Amino acid sequence: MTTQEKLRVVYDCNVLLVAAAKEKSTSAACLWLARSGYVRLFLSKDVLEEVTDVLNRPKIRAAFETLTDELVNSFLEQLREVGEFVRVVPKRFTYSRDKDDEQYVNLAGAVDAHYLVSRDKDLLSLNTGYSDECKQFRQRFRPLKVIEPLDLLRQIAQARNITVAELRAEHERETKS
Amino acid sequence: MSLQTIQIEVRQETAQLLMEKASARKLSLDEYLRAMAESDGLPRMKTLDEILAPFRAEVEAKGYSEDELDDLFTEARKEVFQAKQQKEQE
Repeated sequence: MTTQEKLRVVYDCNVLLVAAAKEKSTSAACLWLARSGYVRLFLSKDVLEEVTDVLNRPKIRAAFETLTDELVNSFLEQLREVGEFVRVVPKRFTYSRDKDDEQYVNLAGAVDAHYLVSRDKDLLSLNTGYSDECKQFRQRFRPLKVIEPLDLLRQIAQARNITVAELRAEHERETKS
Repeated sequence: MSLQTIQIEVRQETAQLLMEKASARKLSLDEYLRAMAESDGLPRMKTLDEILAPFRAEVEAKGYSEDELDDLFTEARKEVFQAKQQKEQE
């Protein structure tokens, strides 16, 4: 598969964070897809800043004592190696329903992403919602779709003619080795 | 031991990236580049899974499900957003 044929994806903050936190999660499998070159993951300064800010929140640090500055910095550094960093992201879309989701849509739009991967209901509603903003999203960013992490696994598994379970097993094998 | 200075030109973004990588390892740019050169290429970096292993082990031990983590991070994201808005208003 050439770089041009690969799916271009943007992961929202929670997908990246859950991937970091839980090895056997659908989100971690999505991150592995990017690491293994099955998809092209795009990141921006705003996305990385949000990931950093969340991991630095006192509530999060209090919940996990192993979450040190060093671990967070190393994770972010690795994330930048896995993803393709987009320096300029034009603000083409505003979303009054959830302002902090705008940056993901704009990043996905900037790179002509096939998928914005998220479990966020506000983002997922962009596919089918009746509000002007939802309609605007569909008109402006077609064929971009917001899909859940599991749906991305399904897409990749289908493209490779294997089952999601087989794809997950491959992820687990490679993570262990 | 005699020392020699080698000068190379890199793009501004490359220089910035090298400084960030050095800083992430708590090294000066000199120390980072010297370590890279003396280890016959890139120093072996920990893999993402190795870096995250202690955090993931703690998450596992505490029994967090994917949904619970999602909720926890969503709450923290809201706090981050509110803090930013507050800062902008000040």
